[in-house]
Amino acid sequence: MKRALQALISLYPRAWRNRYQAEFEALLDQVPPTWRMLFDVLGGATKMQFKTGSAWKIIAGCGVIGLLTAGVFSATTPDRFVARTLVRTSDTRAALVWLSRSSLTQIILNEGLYRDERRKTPLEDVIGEMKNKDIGFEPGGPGSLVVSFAAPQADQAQRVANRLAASLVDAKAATLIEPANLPTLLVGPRRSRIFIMGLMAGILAGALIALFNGLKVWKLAVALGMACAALGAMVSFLLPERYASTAVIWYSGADAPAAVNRLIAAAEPNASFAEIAMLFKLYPGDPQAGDKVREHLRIQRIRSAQNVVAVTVRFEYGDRYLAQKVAQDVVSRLMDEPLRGTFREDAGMMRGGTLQLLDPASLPIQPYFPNRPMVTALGLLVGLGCAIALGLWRMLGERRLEHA
Amino acid sequence: LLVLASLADGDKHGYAMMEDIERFASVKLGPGTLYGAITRLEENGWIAPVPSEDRRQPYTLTPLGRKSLEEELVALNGVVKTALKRLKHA
Repeated sequence: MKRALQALISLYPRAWRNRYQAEFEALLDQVPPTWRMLFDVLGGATKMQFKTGSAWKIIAGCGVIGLLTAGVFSATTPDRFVARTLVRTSDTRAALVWLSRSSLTQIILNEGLYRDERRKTPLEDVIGEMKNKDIGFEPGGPGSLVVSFAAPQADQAQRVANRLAASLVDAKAATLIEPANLPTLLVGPRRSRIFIMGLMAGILAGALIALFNGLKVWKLAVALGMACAALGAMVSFLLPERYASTAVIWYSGADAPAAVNRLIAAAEPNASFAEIAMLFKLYPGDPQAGDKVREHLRIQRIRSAQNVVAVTVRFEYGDRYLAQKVAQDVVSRLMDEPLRGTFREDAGMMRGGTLQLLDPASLPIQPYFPNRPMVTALGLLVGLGCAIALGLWRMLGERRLEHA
Repeated sequence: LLVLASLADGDKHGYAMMEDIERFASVKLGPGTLYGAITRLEENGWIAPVPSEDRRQPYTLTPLGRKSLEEELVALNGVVKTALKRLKHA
């Protein structure tokens, strides 16, 4: 510890060391060394460097700190292998819809994926993260799609990629062209990019510190940034929450796209939106409640190669339970329509077809709006930006006064 | 203020200041913090080094430092008196 303390003295500026080193060493000899003291001396050296150091020295120092931080981040980020499999499908944009929650749940449980995340967050959220972060879809040529999965182990990535492709094949959304090979190349983390980003962030921070060195702008920036972040958080809590519940129906049969269009047209006459609003007491007191239901209800058709069409039903509302109930109701209207007879007799298109519920309406856990962490972070950035702009303005004003 | 107050009753070197401040203010200053303050106070001309044979460097309060300390303490005393008076009436 004593040696570390002695070494830290060399971090002070040369001019300071010429004047104070001997007496400072004498003081360190008298005080019993502790970790707190080590950080105190390190903090003192940093402050003194900022106070007396040249702009270039500050920028270089911050660049080194940025590099070191990037090094720590890079070393603690786990490796990632990506396994890819090729499937044939007609709708490459919406393949994710075909991976039902139940099939992904099965893959997660069988492969023992996301053990830590599953302990902390609901499975619904873990599946969402899996879809957003680790499962990848990219066009693999005309009518084909590359399905990929990223995992810390190569064999696990290969197994899961193959199971994802098998789920698409089972849902009749695709046919397998090429199974996944064992990935040999490490794709992440992109360490060179992390180091470059760390260096650039350090240099930028150093340039800002050098620019405002000696001004009270940093205290102002911290205070204003925190105040704006708190304001952002408060505003985000005042904004009305909106939840989205989604369900997926699956239709397979001859001339599936036309049959599904007919089904939706039969199930959603204009009057039923007002009926749904009344049934669930949505938008109380609003005479346009039916129109609002229509506005917040999205029914999307997704076609696959084997005459199979998926229909996603999504309803957005301020109450998560009601959002789920309405989505469930719309799904049951769609599912029941062929049984009512009118549709079958009029169109005659459901003969021999199969209508199945792929994913029941989900109970949303988190509101999709407002994104509170994002609003808070935005508030922090705005506060910091305002304080820096204010500092620049003050500095320019002082310079103008000096020239006058 | 703590360093100036510590030097008010006589010259002291760094370690003696740390012990004195801990005794009268219950504040444990680290060596980095103490020497940051010493550097700033010396630059302002409020304290000055005293010639010494020892490696440990004693410091003394300059007349300018004494004046500054007195002004600070008077202002602080005003705040303390007002606050105490208000507490009694509350």
